[in-house]
Amino acid sequence: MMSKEREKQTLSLSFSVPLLIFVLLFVIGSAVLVSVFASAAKISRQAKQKNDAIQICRNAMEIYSSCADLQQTVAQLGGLPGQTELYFDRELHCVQQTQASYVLHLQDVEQDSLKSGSFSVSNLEQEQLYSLSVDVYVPEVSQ
Amino acid sequence: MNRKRFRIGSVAILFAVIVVCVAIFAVLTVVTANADLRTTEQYGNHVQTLSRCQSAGAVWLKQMYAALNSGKMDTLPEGTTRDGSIFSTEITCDNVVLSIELELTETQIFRVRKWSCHTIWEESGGSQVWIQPEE
Repeated sequence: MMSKEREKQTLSLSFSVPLLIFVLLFVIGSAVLVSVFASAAKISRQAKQKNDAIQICRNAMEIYSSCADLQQTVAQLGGLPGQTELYFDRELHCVQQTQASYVLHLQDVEQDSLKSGSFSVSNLEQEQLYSLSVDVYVPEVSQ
Repeated sequence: MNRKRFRIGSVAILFAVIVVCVAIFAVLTVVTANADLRTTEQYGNHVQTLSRCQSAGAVWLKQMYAALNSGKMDTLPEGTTRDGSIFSTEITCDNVVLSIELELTETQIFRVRKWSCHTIWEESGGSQVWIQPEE
């Protein structure tokens, strides 16, 4: 009687212990893999955000370099006169604040006949992603 | 008794293979994401260099106008070459070169003939992926 019960216990242990170890290892492995995929997704999102920020800043810089006028730059980027902050979605279209993913801050300063335009892009969490500044000289031509 | 024992060997091998495959995909995903981020940062640095070059060009243009307005066209900014009424310079920032050519018109203003940036190619020292077979 006793020996049969022991036999049953041994059978139960021989079945459950490897299975439990296997399940445990599988769960740990899966957790590690999920965290690796999550970190890859985070890095990828960072890269996309930074790339978008660079594109927005570069567009603004190119326009400003050609006209040396902040209001004209704002207009060409799709904003309204007087705006110093423009909002862009993930497709880099100028949109309303409620639909925005990125905010472009524009500023220009004139010093010693050099106009200096500064552009910085941040995300909605106010984290600055990229910034750029460029100087433009506009000669005063006497007529 | 042995016949009744539940065997997980084949299932374990199957799951192990699946885990290894997914692990390989995970590593490839991380490597690709890191490469994307590195490329983006390099691009960002390149755009910064371009803007610095443009700014340096604007400063040179200002110095040229200052020389023109003061009537001292003999004392040109450093690195400027003159060929008749053509003034040119090359401004280097890191691996980007901005070439500028100005022409002094009869109305005593500068006309920009050339304003272009080009990047100096540098060998990255990366691994060789293809070797030209010898003929």
